[in-house]
Amino acid sequence: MFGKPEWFTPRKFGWGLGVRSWQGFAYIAVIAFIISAVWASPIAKDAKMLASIIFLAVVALDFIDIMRTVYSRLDEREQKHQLIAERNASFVAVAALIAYVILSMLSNMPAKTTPFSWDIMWNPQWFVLMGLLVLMGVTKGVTLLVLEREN
Amino acid sequence: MKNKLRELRARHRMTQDDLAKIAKVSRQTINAIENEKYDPSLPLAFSLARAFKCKIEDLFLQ
Repeated sequence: MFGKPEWFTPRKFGWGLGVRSWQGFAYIAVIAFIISAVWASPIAKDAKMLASIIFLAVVALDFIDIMRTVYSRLDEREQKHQLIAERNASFVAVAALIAYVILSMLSNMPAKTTPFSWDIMWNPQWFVLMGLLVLMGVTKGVTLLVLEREN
Repeated sequence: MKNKLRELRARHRMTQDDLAKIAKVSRQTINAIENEKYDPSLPLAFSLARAFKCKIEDLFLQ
């Protein structure tokens, strides 16, 4: 829609897109500028919020479209690398979760938070989840780097 | 898998980038095949053979 796939590249560490050219940086800067302009404008707070949500929804759709195109342009070798990296990230996630549950059981700590409660927002187990995502992203990146060098 | 990709590419005066564009893969993939680090799929192997107008068995050796 607005952004071009040529401006972005698949991210090695983590998921999503990395910036490939100055146009990609300009695209992000324009989005940030528009959001800032909306919040700096003298309109009602509810209107600012609505405008921001609508704009960010459009940006998210554009981003998903770019990501779909960028990943579909990978050739067979690159796709194979991505799959192996995702698999390794999943293995690490499963291993880390098993280790976490075992540690929770050993220390009599509840491994499960209460669902449908706002208390969940302040639960320290969010850090476990964040740590898990970081670990998976790093595993994916390291796998891709090794595969690119060796294969 | 051993192959004559580099030899044939030189004979046809093609760069890795030229061949990559014909085969619709990245230049890095062509480089990996030439260095015998990556074995291409059958459709890609056919595509490469077609680029040099030769048989697949003339391009890839056992």
